Amino acid sequence: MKNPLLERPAPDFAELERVLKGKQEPRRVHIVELLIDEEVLQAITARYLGKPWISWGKAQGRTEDTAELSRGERGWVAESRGLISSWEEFEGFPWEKIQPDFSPCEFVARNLPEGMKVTVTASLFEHVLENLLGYEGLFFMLHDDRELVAQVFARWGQKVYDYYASVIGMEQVGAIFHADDLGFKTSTLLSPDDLRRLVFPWLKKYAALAHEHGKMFWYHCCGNVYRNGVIDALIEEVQIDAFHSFQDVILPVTDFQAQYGDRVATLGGVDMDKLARMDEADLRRYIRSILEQCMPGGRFALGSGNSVANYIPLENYLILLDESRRWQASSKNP
Amino acid sequence: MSNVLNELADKLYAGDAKTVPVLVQRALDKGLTPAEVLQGGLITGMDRVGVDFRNGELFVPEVLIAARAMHAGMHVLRPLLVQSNVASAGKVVLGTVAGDLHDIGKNLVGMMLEGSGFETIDLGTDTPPNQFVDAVKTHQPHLVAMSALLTTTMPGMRRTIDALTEAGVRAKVKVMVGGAPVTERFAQEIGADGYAPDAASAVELARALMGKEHRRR
Repeated sequence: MKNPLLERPAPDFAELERVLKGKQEPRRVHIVELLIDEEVLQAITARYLGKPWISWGKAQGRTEDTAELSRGERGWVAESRGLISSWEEFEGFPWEKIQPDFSPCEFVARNLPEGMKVTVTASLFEHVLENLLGYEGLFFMLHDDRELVAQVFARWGQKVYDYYASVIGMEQVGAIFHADDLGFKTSTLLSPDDLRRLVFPWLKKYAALAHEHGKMFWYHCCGNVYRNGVIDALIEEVQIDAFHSFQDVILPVTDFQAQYGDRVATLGGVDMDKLARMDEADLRRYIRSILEQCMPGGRFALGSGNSVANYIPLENYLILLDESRRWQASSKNP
Repeated sequence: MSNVLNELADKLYAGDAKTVPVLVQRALDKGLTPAEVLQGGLITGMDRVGVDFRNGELFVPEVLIAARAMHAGMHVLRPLLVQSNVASAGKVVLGTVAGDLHDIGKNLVGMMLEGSGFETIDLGTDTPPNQFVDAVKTHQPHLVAMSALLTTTMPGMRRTIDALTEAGVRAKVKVMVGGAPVTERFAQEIGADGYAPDAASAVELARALMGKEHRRR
């Protein structure tokens, strides 16, 4: 396989933006990822670019990591309890001490290759769910103390807004890539009414902020948002410009584009399970079928359905990149 | 007398953990048997929760709240059920497979099963195959339920089924599986007896497997 990582990349964010907005037919397959695990970045950097890798921090809660590019242990979020379980803990929480560190964004902005842009990301619902209140804490508190839940969302929602407002004006920032998983295999975690009350007002503000600066609002959301009008609310009310995260067991990316592609751009889509487990021939066929169905007409960028996790064989991710190159070479497009 | 059971089912559905035990006691005071209170009040209410959850009318918080109310009711009822030798709907050993600390999905399944009258033995998360085998030998359950969140931890389900076979206890239990990346096809591939996409469906599957189990035993 010709190694796509060793070819000279030619990033063109301006074209990607026009493609996603439906203003231009794609001349090439653009690649979009929200997250690439550190082990994958490290492997690519060391094996293919010959550069050293500097590690960053690790999560809490650990067990053996069975991934191919194992990190030894995998970090997990405790699901039973969060940082806040009472008004006392809410009042005593050091909200004012939580300040974003802009230095990574500024560093990347200073060193961006030509044609590239930075996307900035943060989470509202997920952070409240996983850290501030905890899964079970949030779920029980929605019954026991709804006002406290509302206040936690309000405080963290404003924090996220302030962060986005601080960076969205930077010339090198191309889009907000907001990440908030709302659901699981068969449903959203919260009712649509609760999402409309607690989450969507903030998502609307973030999207409006991006649009005020002439930038796009991309939204990453795992889970089944196709019941009870949730996806329609995200498209029509929140006004997301692009949707990311697809699981074939819920709705394959090709079906999503067929159903919603005229209203919102589609990002990624290569199912994680297939990306992790398919052999090369099947994986290539599968990716080609996505490209054949999603590329015509634009408003699509290829990528993993969720993230390039360390349990994705690196060779399979390179196949994804290689198929994008092959599609371009074989297409009639210039 | 059925009014108190209807009210009990309604309060359980609403997740009213304070009122449910009061109504359980009231139903008992009216002369209903523990089995009648369990089936006609608590399980009836929890079944409605399961149906509405599967149909997208209730969501995870509402299920947890109802399960908490069920637990409060069972606190009053359980000693009486034991005393009167009322059999559970079935015994289930459940756990998240090795290498996986995913908890909430497995917990939901456990709560829904308990709410439907099953006895559960929860092995927790990151459960190696030999622990499932030991639990089957110790508790002699009718069913083994396994959960996995990741593509990379799914093979733990196959290893567990293999371990049950090697230990000579596979034929004594029905195995059901679920979790984000798990599919019906995968369940068939690894030799599981059933797959459920969500917690409510898991209860239906458990009941169906128990039907087969009873015919077999």
